[in-house]
Amino acid sequence: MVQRSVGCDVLVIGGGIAGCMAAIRAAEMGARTVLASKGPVGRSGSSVVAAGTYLYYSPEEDLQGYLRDACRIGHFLDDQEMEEEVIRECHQRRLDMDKWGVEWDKEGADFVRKPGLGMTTMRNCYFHGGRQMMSVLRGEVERQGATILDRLMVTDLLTSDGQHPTRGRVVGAVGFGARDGRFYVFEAKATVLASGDWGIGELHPGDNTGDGQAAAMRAGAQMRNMDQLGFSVAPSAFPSMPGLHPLTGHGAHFLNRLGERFMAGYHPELMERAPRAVLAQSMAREIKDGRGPVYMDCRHLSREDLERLARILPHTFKAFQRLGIDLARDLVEYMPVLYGNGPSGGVRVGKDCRTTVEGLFCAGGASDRMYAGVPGLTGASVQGWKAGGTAFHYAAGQATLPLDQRQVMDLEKVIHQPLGRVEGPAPKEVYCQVRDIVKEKIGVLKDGERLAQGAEALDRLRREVVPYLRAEDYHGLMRTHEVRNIVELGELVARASLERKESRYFNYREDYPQRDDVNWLKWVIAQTEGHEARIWTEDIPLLRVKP
Amino acid sequence: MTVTVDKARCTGCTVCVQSCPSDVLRMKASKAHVAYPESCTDCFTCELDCTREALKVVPGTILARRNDKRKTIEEVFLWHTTA
Repeated sequence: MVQRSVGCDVLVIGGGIAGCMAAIRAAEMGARTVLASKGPVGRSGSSVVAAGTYLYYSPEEDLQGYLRDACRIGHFLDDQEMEEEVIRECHQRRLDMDKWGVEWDKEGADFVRKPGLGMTTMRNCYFHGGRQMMSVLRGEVERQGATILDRLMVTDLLTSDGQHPTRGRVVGAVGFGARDGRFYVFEAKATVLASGDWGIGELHPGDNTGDGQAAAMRAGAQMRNMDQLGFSVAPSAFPSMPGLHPLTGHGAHFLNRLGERFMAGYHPELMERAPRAVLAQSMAREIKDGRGPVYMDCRHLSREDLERLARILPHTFKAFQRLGIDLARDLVEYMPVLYGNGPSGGVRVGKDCRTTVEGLFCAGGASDRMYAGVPGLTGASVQGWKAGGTAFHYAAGQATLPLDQRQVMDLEKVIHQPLGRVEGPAPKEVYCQVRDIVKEKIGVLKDGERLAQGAEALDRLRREVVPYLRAEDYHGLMRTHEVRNIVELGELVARASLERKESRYFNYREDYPQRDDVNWLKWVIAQTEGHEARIWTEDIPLLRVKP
Repeated sequence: MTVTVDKARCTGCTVCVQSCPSDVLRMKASKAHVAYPESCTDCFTCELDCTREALKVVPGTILARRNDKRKTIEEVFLWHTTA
C-alpha cells in the first residue's frame, strides 16, 4: 500500500465547527495547518445537521446570571471557568461568523432571541441551519490557507515513545483514505482532536462514532463525565430529526396517551422547555408506566411561528410533509432517542483546551464539554477557536520529533487487517448488537444490574469479536474501525455510569434516584492503564456558583 | 431504501457524492448511485444539495431496519466456532 506522509505544525482532526474554527485560528496565526476529516468538511459531523441554535450573549447581558442558569441546567457537572469563558466569548464568535457570511434570524439588525431548553435567564438566537453555516466555515478555512483532506479517517495517534498509553507526547497521527484505502502518516507539532462525540446514530449523526475520543483514550488521555450518556426526544418515525430547541422554544406541547401535558408533573416551571435530560427521562417514565405513546402537539402555534420554524428547520418540515404530517393539524408521536455523549463527556481538557497528554488538544464534541448548560455548538465554536490558538503557540516552541517507525508499522497493520480476512463478523452485525446493548442495558433510566450486564457484554465484544471484524472494501474498512471505537467507548460509558451512585443530569439511576449534592458533586474520570480503563472520581471545584 | 436516485433527473454533477457524510453515494455510469444503502442515516444532505431534485430521502426506514431479523448476540460471539 502506498504511504503518504504529511508534515505540518498543527493537525486538526474533524471538520465540524470546532475543527474549522481551530483550523481557521491556527492558520490565521501563521501555522502550517492541515484539517483531516472522515466526512467532507462542511457536510459532516453534528454541526451540519444543527437546527441553528446558538447562545445569545452580549456584554450588556448579566454574565453571572447566565452562568448560574447554565450550571443549574448542567447539574453542576461543568468546569465553571470553562463555562464562563464560553459564555463570554461566544459573543465574538457570533460576530465573526456574521462577518464571514453566516445567516442569522434577525428582525431588522437585531438577532431574534428565544429561551432554549431549561433556560430562565439565558437566551438563544438562531442561524439558518448548519448547512449554510458550515459552507461558510469551509470557505473561511480555505481562505486562511489551511489544507483540507476530506474522507480521511484518522484511526490512532502517534506518540514520542511509541507507546499506547504514552508517557511522552503526541507527535502526529495515522489514518487512511475512506475511499482509496491509502495509508497516511501525519507528523505534527501539535494535534487538535475535533472529531465529535460518541454515539449510535439515532438523533445522533451516524458518522460521529467517537473516533477521536477512542484514539485519545488508547493514547492514554484522561476522559471525564463519560457517565453522561445523552438521550433526547424525537419523532418515532424520524429519530434523526433536528429541531427540538426551536420547536419547544416556540411553544410545542407534549401529551401522553391520556391527552395530559405530562411535563407538568416533572418540571412544572419550564414544562416542555425543561432540560433535555428531564424531557427524555420523563418521556421514558410515561412510556414505562403505561401512559404512552406520547405526542408532540403544535396545533395551537400561530401561522407566523410555524412559518418561522419552517424557515429555521427546512428539511425537518420537508420530512414531516413526506410522512403526511401537518403540524397545524396533526399530533406527532415522540420517543426518547439516543444522543451519544453529546451533552457532556469526552476527552478531559483544561480552559485552554489542552488534554492530559502533551501535544494533544481537544475541542467540541470530542472533548468533555465542560459547558453542558449551553447549546453544544456554541461551546464547540469557542473551544475550537481557543484550541487553534493554543496549538499554534505550542507548535511554535516545538521541533518535529522523529516518528517511531515500529509504531507506524504496527498501526498500519491494525488499519488494514480487516481487509485480509475472508471470514469474521461484518461491522453492521456488531453495530446492531452494540446499539441494542446501549439501549437496553444502559438506557435512559439506568440500573446497576443492567449496567454491569451491559459492560460485560461490551467487554466480550471488544475482546472476542472486534479483533476478527471483516471488511469487504474500503467503505467497510471505515465501518470496522468505527465499530471498534463504538464498542470501546460504549463499555467505558457503562462502567462510568456504574461508578456514579446517585442521579445527576443524564445519568439517571433507578437504584439511586436522588441527586446527592453532599457526596456526589464529583466528576467520574477514566484513563487507560495497560489494557483496561481505571476509573475514579474527583471533587468538582465550585469556583463561581454553588448549588 | 432510505435514499433513491431518479436517474432521469440526475445530471451526473457529483455534488451529492461529494457531500454525503456517510459515503453512501458513488458514481456509476455517469450517474449518482446508492452504493451503500445501509450506511444512510436520513440526514437529507444529498437531497438538499441536489439542484435537480434527483435525490429523495424517505425517513423512517432506519426505524424499520432496526426490526430486521438479525443474529442474536450469542450467534455473533460464536461466529468463529460455527463458521
